[in-house]
This record gives sequence, structure tokens and C-alpha cells, in this order.
Amino acid sequence: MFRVVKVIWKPVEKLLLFIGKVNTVLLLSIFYYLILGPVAIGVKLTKIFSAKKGSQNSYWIARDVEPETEETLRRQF
Amino acid sequence: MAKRKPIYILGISCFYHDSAAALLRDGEIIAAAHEERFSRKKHDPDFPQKAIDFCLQFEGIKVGDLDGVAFYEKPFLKFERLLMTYIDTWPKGLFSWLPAMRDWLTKKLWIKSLIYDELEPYEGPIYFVEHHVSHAASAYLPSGFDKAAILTMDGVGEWATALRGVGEGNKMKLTQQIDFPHSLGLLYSAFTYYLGFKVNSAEYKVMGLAPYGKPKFAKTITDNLIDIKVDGSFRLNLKYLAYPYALRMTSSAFDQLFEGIAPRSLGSKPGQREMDIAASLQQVTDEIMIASARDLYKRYKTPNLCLAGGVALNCVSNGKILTKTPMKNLFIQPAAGDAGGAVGAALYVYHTILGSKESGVRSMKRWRWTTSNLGPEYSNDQIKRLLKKKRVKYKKLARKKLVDKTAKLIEEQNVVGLFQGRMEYGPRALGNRSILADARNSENQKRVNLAIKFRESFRPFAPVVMEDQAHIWFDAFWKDPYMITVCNVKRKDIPAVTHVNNSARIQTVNREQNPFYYDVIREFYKSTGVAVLINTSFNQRGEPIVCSPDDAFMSFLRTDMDFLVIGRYLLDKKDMPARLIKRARETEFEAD
Repeated sequence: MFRVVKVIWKPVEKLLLFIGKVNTVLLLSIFYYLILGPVAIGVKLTKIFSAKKGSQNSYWIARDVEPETEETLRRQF
Repeated sequence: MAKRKPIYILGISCFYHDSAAALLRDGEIIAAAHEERFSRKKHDPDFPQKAIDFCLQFEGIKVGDLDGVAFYEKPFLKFERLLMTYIDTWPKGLFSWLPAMRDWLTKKLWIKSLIYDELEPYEGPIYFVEHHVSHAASAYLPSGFDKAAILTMDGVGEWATALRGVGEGNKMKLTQQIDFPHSLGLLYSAFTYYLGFKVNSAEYKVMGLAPYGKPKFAKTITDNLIDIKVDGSFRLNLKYLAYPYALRMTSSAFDQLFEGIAPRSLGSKPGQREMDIAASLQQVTDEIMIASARDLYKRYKTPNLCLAGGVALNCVSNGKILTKTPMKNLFIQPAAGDAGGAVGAALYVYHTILGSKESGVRSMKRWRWTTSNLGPEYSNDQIKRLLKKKRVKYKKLARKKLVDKTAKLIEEQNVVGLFQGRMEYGPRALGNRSILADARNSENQKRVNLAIKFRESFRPFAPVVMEDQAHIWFDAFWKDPYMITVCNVKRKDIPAVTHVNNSARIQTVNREQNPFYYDVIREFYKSTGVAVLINTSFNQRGEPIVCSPDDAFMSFLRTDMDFLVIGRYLLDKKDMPARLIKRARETEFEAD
């Protein structure tokens, strides 16, 4: 019985993996165009209307130097 | 009185390239290793399970004894950068979005639970240290300086691609950064890709190629690709770069900039044009690093500089910092790339939280980094068992005899594999997993490149020199035990380690650092008057540096190395059975 299930399972597993891959591509593509897209268009429009920076002497950006605590170090962000 | 249990912190870096683990005991690194050395997969990015197992076994502890685990990045910040970049570059990024999201949604977003799963039954805290803070901590905290300027530069961490500040006592003030996509590391990688080399792997080949060329394209780069300010900060022109949104590094505009020629295919032989481009890129890199160092000196008034990140492995720029800026003391730990993040994260957590909790003060003594030999070691018994199992002929020699014999063999123009003591941490072999040859013979450069390492003929070899003799042979006022600077060669009689522009990437060694290695060079010096040898890593192209006696034995058989000095044993290639050599040579490595 188990041997029969094993024999059947192999091609089924391959098929399911393939369907999973196709699904992933479809879902991520839909997300990319339909959800990320409008956000991206909004951001781009905002950038067009925001004032451009003049010439700079340095490209170093100041960094917030907060004292590090156990709590901040445990955060993944 | 009961003995206090030491504070143990495990540092981990993984999931990008060169994953590694490091174990800290009361603020001191006692074991550290790259995963690739155990998995035998070059630049292995996977979870460093084998490296962690080694670290814990070395100290004889279990995961339950750990007081903390430190990861070298903040994953959610990195994910945020990824999303913001795809928003910025929409709709061009679909093809890189798909694999990136698959990777993040199934693995990288779950790092915390993944670490708990892999380290079961560990239930203690996991700390997440920013990527460049990990780099900075790996450079400054073990540097031994009371005060030093700090500069980190690499491809990218979360948002930062460069970070700078100052360290005093055991505190670091990291006040400024440059953010993605403006990255010197990624610019270097873009050229690496364009010149036909592997990204995140072969950047050092571009550096080695540069001296063959003239910086004819330097102006093209500074006029179009990058704007450099006097303080070393820079901004890239993204019109030419595709890495924020594509699976390639450069755009078609980049090709137009370089005479309309498309990127070279991987592994193609570089010509004069490629050499000129490499030279131009190196000149621009030097310009940025020199300007950054000068500005840091102006800001912090200290001649001490700590560097980390992949760009800190650019030995040419490092040498120029020492000769062309007021920075006179440079500390770069031997694993300055991402692997070193494991050490940095652990040290940072110790000095910020766990150690200070224990001692109640912030001015705890800092451990000083004095050796790269932090990996596994194998006993003579283990080596003997292997040799017996392989049924090969070998000689066991007393230490003094083995030193004399090794020096003599090198003098007689043999190429010798040296396997001694603990494996090195970092990308360089510094005498414990090395291949040695006579630097006086120019033919050795070709022979070791083509018949032993199976690598490109243009690649130079690095010299090791007795520290007390270094000033005679090289134009360097500094010591360099980790082979991270390039300087000029003073003498003409070591052509095998002298690059076409009369430079060399030196390693200085004294007896305290590595007695056996030093004694071999000293014996060679006594007999020949030359205190310099070729030292290259014990591996062939595409293979990680050997870790175990078995790896060393197989590598010895696979290549045209003449002798192997392994522990107290000496093996002659002529005595090795043909069937073993044939079998060993069936293994092939993917070219890097």
C-alpha cells in the first residue's frame, strides 16, 4: 500500500511544486503591478513637486545617535 | 568562592555571502570560522551551522550556555530598503523583484525564528546589530587604540553603504553615513561584473589587474559616474547602474560610456582595455579613500584609523592611506568583509549590554586582536590516523628538523604546502594553511598560478617577510600581520612577489605570532640571505582554503605541489600512489 502511495506521490509532489512556483510568480507579479505600482506612481509624483536640493559640499548624511539599549538591540528594525 | 560563569556571546553573519560564526568569552574572541571552510562551498551564504558547532565544541559548551546571540544585521530595515528601492525603480524591477521576494518571504524575514530553530534548545536573547555598526565594532573595539577614527565601506547593509565616526575607550560615536544606492563597494562590483569577473567574489582580481593598465578612463568615471567631494563622500549617477532594479550590475548607458562595448562574459581573458579600466577604477577608489582618511584626521585629530567592510580589503588603497595621509596607524582586522560582522556584532553586544551589565561599568577592558588563528586545530594523532588510512608514505620529523627541511626544500625550488595549528579567520592564509615557494625565482609565479592554483596568469603573489627585516625589502614603515596593505618593493631579487608596478601585498611575521612559520623563513634567510617567501593560500581556484588534514591531503594530491608539511609529518608527492592522485584529480571546483 505504502509503496503504491510513494510511487504516486513523487509525480504529484513535482506537479504541486511546479504549481506553487507558478502561483508565486503570478501573485508576486500582481502585487508588483497592482499594489506597489500605485504607491510608486504616488511617490514619483511627490518627488516631481518637491523642491530640489541645491549644490552640496558633502554627501555624508547625519545619523541619529541614540544610546543603544537592550530593547533597541533586540529589535529587528 | 564559586567561580563566575563566563559571559558567552555567539556572533553570526549569514544569508548574503561568506557566512561565519564567532564565539566571545568575557569579551575575548576565542573561536571564529567561515562556514565555507567546513561546507567546502566557496563564499557559502547559508546558516553557519558547522562553524557554530566548531565554536561551541572548541570551548566545550552547549547552546544553553550562551548568554546571547548577536546577528550582524537588522533584517526588517534591510527589507524596508528593498521595498523602497522597488518603489523608486518601478516598473523596471520585476525580474529581480521575483527572486528577491521569494527569498525574503520564505527565509530572510524569519531570521529570528530560524536562529532559534537551528540553535535549539537555546531560548536566550537574540540581538540585531546594524550591518555597518557590526563592521565598525569589529574594527575599533579590538584595535587596541584608546582613540581612533572609524570608517566602514562596503556594498550595502540595511541602508548604509558607508559609515564614519570616532571611537574613544569602549564607546563609538558613529555620526554620519552614506545610503544606498550610492555605494563605493557596489561601484567596484559593477566594474567587476563589466570586466567579466564574478561579483561578490572576484573584486580582488580587478585590484590585481589594475597595475597592468593606465588610468585612461579615470576622468570618464569622475566626470560621468561619480561625484566625489573633498571629504571623501560621493554620489553615483544611477543612469549608468542597473543593480537597484535588475539582475545585472550595469545599464546600457554604462556600455556607451566605455566605447559602446557590452560587459564581457564571465571568465573571459582580460586585454589591455580591461586593464586600463581596472587601473582607472583603482585610481578613483584610492582618491575616495585618501580623501576620507584626510577628512577624518581633520575632524578627530588622531593618526589612528580603523577600517572595515569589503572596501577595507582593498590593500592598494590601504597602503596609500598610510603613505599619503596623516593617518599613520591603521587597524584592519583580518576578516574585514562580511564574515567579520559576526565578531563585530558579538563585541558590540558585549560592550553595549551584557558585559556592562555584569561589571556595572562602561570602561571595561577591551580585548585586543593579535592573531587570525581562531579556527580549528588538528593533533598529530589525527593527522597520523588519516595518513595510515590513506596508506601513504610519510616521514615524522622533530620540530627543528622539520623547520630545516622545509626551508631547504623551498630553497631547492620545491613548492611546499604548510598545514599547522589553528586555521586562519578571514580570507587570507597567513602561515597555517599556506603554500610556500621561493620568491627569488620568477618562474615560481607562473608555476604556482598555473599548475598549483590553476588560476589566471596575471594574478600576483604576496610575500611574507620577517618583521625585523621588512624595512630592508619593502618601503613600509608599518607592520602588517594580516596582509592588508600594498607597498613598494625595494630590492630586485624577489621577482616572484613583485608586481608589474614594483608593488607587493606584504605580510610581516614575528616569532611570537607564528613560531613555526617564522622559523622556516628564518632558516631560509640564514641559508640564502633572503628573508622573503611566496605565501599563498592553501587551495586551488574555486576551492575554499583547506580546513582539515583531509582537505589538505586531497588538495596536495590534486595539484602539482611537491611536498606537504602537515603537523610533524612530511609527505613527498613522488611517494604518493598514482591511483590516489588520479581519484583526487577527478574533483573539480567551479571557477570563481
